[in-house]
Amino acid sequence: MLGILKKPLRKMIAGSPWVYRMNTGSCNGCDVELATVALCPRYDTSRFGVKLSGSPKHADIVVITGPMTIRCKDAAYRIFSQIPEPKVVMTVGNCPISGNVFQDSYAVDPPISKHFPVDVSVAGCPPSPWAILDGFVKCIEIWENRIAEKLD
Amino acid sequence: MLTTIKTVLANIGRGPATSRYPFVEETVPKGFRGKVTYDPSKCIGCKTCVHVCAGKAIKIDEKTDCFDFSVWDGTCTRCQMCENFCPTGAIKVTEEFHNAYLAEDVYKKAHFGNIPYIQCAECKKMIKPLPEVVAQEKLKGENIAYKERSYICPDCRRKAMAKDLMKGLAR
Repeated sequence: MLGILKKPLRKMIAGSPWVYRMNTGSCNGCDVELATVALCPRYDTSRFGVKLSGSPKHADIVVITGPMTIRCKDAAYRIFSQIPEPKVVMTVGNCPISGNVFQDSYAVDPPISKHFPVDVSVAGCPPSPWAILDGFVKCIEIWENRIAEKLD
Repeated sequence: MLTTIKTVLANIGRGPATSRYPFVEETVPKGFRGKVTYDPSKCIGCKTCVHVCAGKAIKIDEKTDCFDFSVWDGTCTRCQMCENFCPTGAIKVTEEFHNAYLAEDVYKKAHFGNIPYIQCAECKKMIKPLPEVVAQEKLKGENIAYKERSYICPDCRRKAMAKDLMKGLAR
């Protein structure tokens, strides 16, 4: 019975990944770009079922912006541990990849891949909305595979 | 009520506002700054781009017989300063915006260039070469002082020219 349901179930779950947005000290450029992608009808992410969630406990995809400042490190770790497995981690912007213009500052601790297991990185300062859309599409593929692993 | 109906009808005629991006290719607006490309055949190694780069994306590594140029996409701020200041047009900003990678591919997204030095014919010092394309474009192929002594270093060229000058004065 469950064997027959597995395939449609997988499609259904992968059809609506909820996104939790985490700002670890970003300059807000990437956040604005992300908000325009996720919320405005021009680059409608609802076409892929992507929806912003308010609570980390409902989230499937974590989107991280910013170079991880020392002050928000503990909070970021705490929030990240609350997001249920399996989860997909996507970083937006250059700061999570390398620290970008803040890279030698004493107050930041980049890259994010040092702290969390990152799956998809969207480069750019800030990245264009189309690139972020591409990132979401890549995330959904990974998310579907993770679900399949979990179900088998 | 009538205005509402009018607006609704007008909007139906206009079609959807959503861009169909992942399924249909998008054209970027004019002046969009995307990825940086590098043309090693035009680079003279003046290091102006290293100096102006805000995100420290461009690095020039000087070795004994060559210099290595690299620009990493992961820390480039797309400010276009390198293109503005490049005297020969070796660096160009493209309209490429497909920047979503898998995380393990991030460190592969870099342009590399390796340019060997040439040796000065007189003092055997290693000097950065002036590419023929740049000589044609910037000097228009008419700079006689450069044309005659393109194989020697600036110091030796200065000495040779001073020698020529003294010869001319003595005559």
